[in-house]
Amino acid sequence: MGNPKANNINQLFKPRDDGILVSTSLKITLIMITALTLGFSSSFVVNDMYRSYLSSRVASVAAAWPATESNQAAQKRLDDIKQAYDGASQVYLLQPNSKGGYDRIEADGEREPASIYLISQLYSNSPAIKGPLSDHWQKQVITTAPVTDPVSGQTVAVIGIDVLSSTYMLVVALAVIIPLLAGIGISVIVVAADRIRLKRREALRFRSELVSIASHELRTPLTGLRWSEEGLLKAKLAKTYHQTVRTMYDSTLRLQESIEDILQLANLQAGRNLGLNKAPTDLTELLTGILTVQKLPAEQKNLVLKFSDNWPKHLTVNCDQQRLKRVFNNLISNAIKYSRPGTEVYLDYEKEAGRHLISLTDHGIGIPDSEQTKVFSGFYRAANAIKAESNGTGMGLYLSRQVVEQHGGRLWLKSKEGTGTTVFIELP
Amino acid sequence: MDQTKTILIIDDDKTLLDALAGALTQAGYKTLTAGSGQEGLELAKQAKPDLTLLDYQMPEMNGIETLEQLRRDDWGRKAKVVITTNIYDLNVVNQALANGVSDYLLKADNSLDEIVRQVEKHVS
Repeated sequence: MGNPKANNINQLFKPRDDGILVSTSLKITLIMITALTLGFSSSFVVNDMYRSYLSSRVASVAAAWPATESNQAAQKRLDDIKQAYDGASQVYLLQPNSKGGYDRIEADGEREPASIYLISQLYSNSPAIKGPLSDHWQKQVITTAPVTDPVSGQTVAVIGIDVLSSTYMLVVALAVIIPLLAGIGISVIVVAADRIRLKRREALRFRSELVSIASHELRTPLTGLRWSEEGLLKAKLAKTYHQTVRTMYDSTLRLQESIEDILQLANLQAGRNLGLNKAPTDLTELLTGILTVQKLPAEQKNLVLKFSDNWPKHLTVNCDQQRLKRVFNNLISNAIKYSRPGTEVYLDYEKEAGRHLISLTDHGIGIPDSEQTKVFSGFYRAANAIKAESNGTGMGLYLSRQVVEQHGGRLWLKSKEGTGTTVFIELP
Repeated sequence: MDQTKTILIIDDDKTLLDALAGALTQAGYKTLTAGSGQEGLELAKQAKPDLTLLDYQMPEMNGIETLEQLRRDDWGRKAKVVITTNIYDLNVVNQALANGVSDYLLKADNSLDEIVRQVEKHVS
C-alpha cells in the first residue's frame, strides 16, 4: 500500500501467525512421537504373536508326527504342511546323526548338520538333544519342536519352522508402518484444519485492518470539516452565510454520527477493541461538553437542554470515557431529533443501591409500545421515527446498550407514543 | 486566560493542525505547531511547552514513538502530553498510558471548544 498511514496501521496490526504455526508443528511433533512409540511397541507385540503362532503350528505338527516314516514320505508331508498354512514358510526335519548331533534332512534325502543357533533353540525345547551342529540357514529358523518316539520316549527327530525373512519383515514392518501412516494422516488433517483457522484469522485480521484504516481515513477529513465549520461559525459572517455554515455543520455532525455507528459496528464484528479503557471520569464534565456541542442543533428547534436541579456538581464514574461519550452523544442527539419544538430535554440523576442511575427525558414523538424492544435490535427504526426524521442508521440504541452492558450496567427506556421517551442508564 | 502558557501541537494533518492552533490562539494560548514527530521533538526540547497535543497516526515516527523519545529527555520525562488521535485502539491507549500521558482524546469525538476546555484543564 502506498499510503504511509495505511502502512503504519499495517505495522500496528501485523500478522500474529507465529502462534498458530508453532502450535501446528508442535501438534505434528507430538502426533509423530506417539505414532513412532506406538509403531515400535506394536512391532514387538506382533513379533511375539507371530512367533507364538508358528510355535503352536510346529508343536502340533510334531505331535502328529509318525516316527517311523521314511525320509521321502516325511519330506512330502512337510511340503504339504508348508503349502497348507502359508506357502512362504519352510518346515525342516532334523534327525540325530552319528556324531551325536542333528542333521537337517533335505528333500532328496541328503543330510546336512544343523546350526549352533538351532541347537541352542533345541536345548530350550528339548534338553535331550546335544551335539555340535552347523548350518547356514539358522537365521531363518523361528522355532522348533521335538518328535518323540511314543514307545521309547526318546527324541527321534526335531522339526524346525521358519518363515521367509521378507514375509516376516513385512509383518513386523506393517506393525510399524500402519501407526506411522495413521500419524501422517492425522498430521495432514491437523495441518489442513490449522490452515483453515489461519485463513479465517487472516480474514478477520484483514477486516480488522480495514476497519482501522477506514476509521482513521474517514474520521480525519470529517474532523477537519467539523473543526473548520466550528471556526467559521465563530467568525463574523453575514447572516445568510452563517446559516449556510450551520447547515453544513449539522450535516457534518449527522454524517459523523452515522460513520461512528458503522465503525463501531464494524469493530464489534471484526472483534476489535472489545475491551474497555476504564478510568475515573467526571460524567458531569463529560455531559456538559456534550450539551454545549448539542446546543446548536437544539437551538434550531428551540429546545432547552439541561441538567435537573439535583444533578451533582461532580459525578465520578469508573468508565471508558470515549465509549460513554459516544453513548450519551447518541442518546442526546436522538432526544433532540425526535423532540417537539419548544420543549425540554433534561438529564436527571439518582443514586440507587450504590449504583448511578442517569435518565434522559424528552417530550417528543415517543416509541409505539409494539416497537419498544425492537429499537434495541440493531438496524431498526420505529415507524414514527422514520416518518419524523428520514436520517438514521437504527444502530444507536443497539450499540449504546452494548457499551453500557460492557460496563456492567443496564440501558432501557420508558416511552409513550406522542408524549415522549425517558432513557435510563444504570452504571456501577 | 494565562497568556504565558504555550501549547505545542504535533499533527501531520495540516487542516487539523491549523484549526487546533487557531482555536487555541483565540483562547489566548501561545501555540507552536509541528507537522511530524521529529520536528515536534526538536521544538518541544527547545521551547519546553506547558502542554503538547500529540497525534498518534503519523508517517515515519508515530505518536507513541515520538512520546518514547521525548521521555528519554531530561525535561521531556515530565512533560505534559495529551494524545489527540482519530484511532481508538486499546493497544495504543495502553502504550500511551504506560508512557505517562495526561489524556487520550479522540479528535472526531470532540469539538474545538471541547479540546480547548481539555487543554485548559491540563494546564491550569
